[in-house]
Amino acid sequence: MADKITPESLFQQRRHFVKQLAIMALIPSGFSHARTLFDCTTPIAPKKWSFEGEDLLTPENKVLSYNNYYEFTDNKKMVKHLAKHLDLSQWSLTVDGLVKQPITLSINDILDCILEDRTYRLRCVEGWSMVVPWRGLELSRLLAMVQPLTSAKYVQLEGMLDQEVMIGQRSNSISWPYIEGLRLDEANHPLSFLATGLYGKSLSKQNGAPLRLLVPWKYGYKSIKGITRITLTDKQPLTTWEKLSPSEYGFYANVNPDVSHPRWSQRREVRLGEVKKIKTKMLNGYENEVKDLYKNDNFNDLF
Amino acid sequence: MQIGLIKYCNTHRGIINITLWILAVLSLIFLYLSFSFSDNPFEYLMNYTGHGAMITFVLTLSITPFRSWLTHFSKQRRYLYGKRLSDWNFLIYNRRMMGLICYYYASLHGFIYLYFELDFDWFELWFDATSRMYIFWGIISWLLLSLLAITSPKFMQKKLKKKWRTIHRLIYIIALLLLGHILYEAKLIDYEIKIYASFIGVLLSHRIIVYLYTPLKNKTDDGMEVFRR
Repeated sequence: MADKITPESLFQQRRHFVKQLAIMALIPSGFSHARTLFDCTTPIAPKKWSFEGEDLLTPENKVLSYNNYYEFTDNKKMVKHLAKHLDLSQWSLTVDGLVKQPITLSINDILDCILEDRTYRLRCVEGWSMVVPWRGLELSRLLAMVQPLTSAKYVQLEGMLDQEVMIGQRSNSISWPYIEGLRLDEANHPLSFLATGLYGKSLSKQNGAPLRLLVPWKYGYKSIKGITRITLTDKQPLTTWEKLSPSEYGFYANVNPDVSHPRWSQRREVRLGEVKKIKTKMLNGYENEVKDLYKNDNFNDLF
Repeated sequence: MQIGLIKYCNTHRGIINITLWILAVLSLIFLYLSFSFSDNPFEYLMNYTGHGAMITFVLTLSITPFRSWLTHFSKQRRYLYGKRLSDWNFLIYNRRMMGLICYYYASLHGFIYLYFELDFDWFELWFDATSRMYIFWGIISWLLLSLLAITSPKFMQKKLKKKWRTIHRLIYIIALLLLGHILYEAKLIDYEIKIYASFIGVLLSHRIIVYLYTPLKNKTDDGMEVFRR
C-alpha cells in the first residue's frame, strides 16, 4: 500500500536509515529493545469507515486551498503560500511523559509503518466541513509502542514552533506552540487517526505535514497540525483555544448541534464547494462508534 | 476648476444618482459571476453583501458631517465657492440613493442567510435569533432600515413633515445595532470591526459635539431645505 505513493529508492533509503537507528539503539539498551520501538510494520486488518450516499468527497483543490492554520495566518487562502517555505527536514516526533518507553521518531520511521486509508468528515467549529480521504495510522498504535503507565489519563499534543516561517507565531495574541489534548480513552479509540497523506499523496504542508491528528467526531480545531510532541499526562491539558476563550472552545469540543456557539450555528454546516447548508449530525455522524466513550458523562456538558 | 466641479455636481444630481445605481448593479453582477469560484461560496456571499451594506451605511452616515467639514475647509482656504452649506447640497440629494443601496445590500444579506442557511425554516430562525443576539440585532436593524427605505421618497417626506426627521434619526440606533452585530459575529482577532467602529465613532461623535456645543449648530439648516423648492 505504501509503495503506491513512495518511490522504491526512497523506500530503500528509509530501510537503511531504520537499520542504522536500530544499530545506534543497540549500544545502550540491546537489540530486542530497539525492535519494540519500531514495531508498527506487523500486518493489521484495515478498518473500513464508509458513509451513506450523500457524503461525496470534497474536491481536492478546495481541501488544499482553504485552510485554518493560525501558525501562519488567519487568512485561509494565504496559508498554502506561506506554508511552502516550511522546512521539514529536521522534523521529529517525541512521544514522552508517563510512559515506559519514550521514543523519538523521524518521518521515515512513521512512513515505514503499515498505513491505512480512511475517509473522514471534518467539521470546523466555524460551520464548514469537508470529506477527505486520508492515509496514516491509528493513534492507538503509536501509543501502544510507548506503553503508557496506568497513571496516564490524558494525551497532550504539541504543534511546531518556528517563528521564522510560521509568521503567525510572531504575534502573542495566541500562545504558541499550539496545544491540543484528548482523554486517553479518546486517543485510543480506533477513529483517532494520525495522517501522513491525503488524496493518495503525501500530506501537504498547509494541511499539517508531516503529521497531523484527526478526531472526526470533534470540531476541527482538535485535529492539530504539524505535531512534534505527544506527552502523556495525568492532568487535563490546557489547550490553545480553550486558553484563549474558554466560553467558546471547550476541551472536549464534541460536535453537538444542541450546544450553541456564541457566533456560529452548530446546527448546520456547509460543505466546501457547496452553497447551501446541511444539518449537522450529532457527533458528526460518528455517534454509534464513539457514544460508549461518554456513557458515564453528562454529554451536553462536554462541549 | 473646483467651482466648476461642485457646480456641475449640484446641477447634475441625477447623473450621480444613476452612476451610483449602475455601480451597485455592476457589483451585484460581479458577485453573481464570482461566487461559485470561491472555496466557501456561502461565506463569500455573506461577507460580500455584509461588507457592502456596512460600507454604504458608513458613507450614508458620513454625508452630514462631511458637508459641514467641507464648508469649514472651504472657509479656511478662502475658496470662492463651497463656503455655504447649500453649496454641498448635492451630497444630501445623493444620500438617499446611498441609503437605498445600503438597504438593498442588507436585504440581500438577509435573503442569503434565510435561503442558504435556514432554507426558510422559521423555527430555526427563531432558534438562531434567540440563541445568538447578533442575529437578533441584525433582524432589528433590517426592520428599521426598511422603515427608513419606505419613508425615503419625497412625497413621504412632505407627508410626514417634522416626524420624518425623527424617524430618520433612527439611523443612529441602527449604527449601534450594526456595531453590535459585527462585534459579536467577529473573532477576537478580526480587524475589520475596529475600522468600522472607528469610522462610526467619529461620525457619531461629530453629531454629539455639534449637539452639545451650540455655536456649531446651524439653526437654519435642518438638512431638508434641499427638498423645499
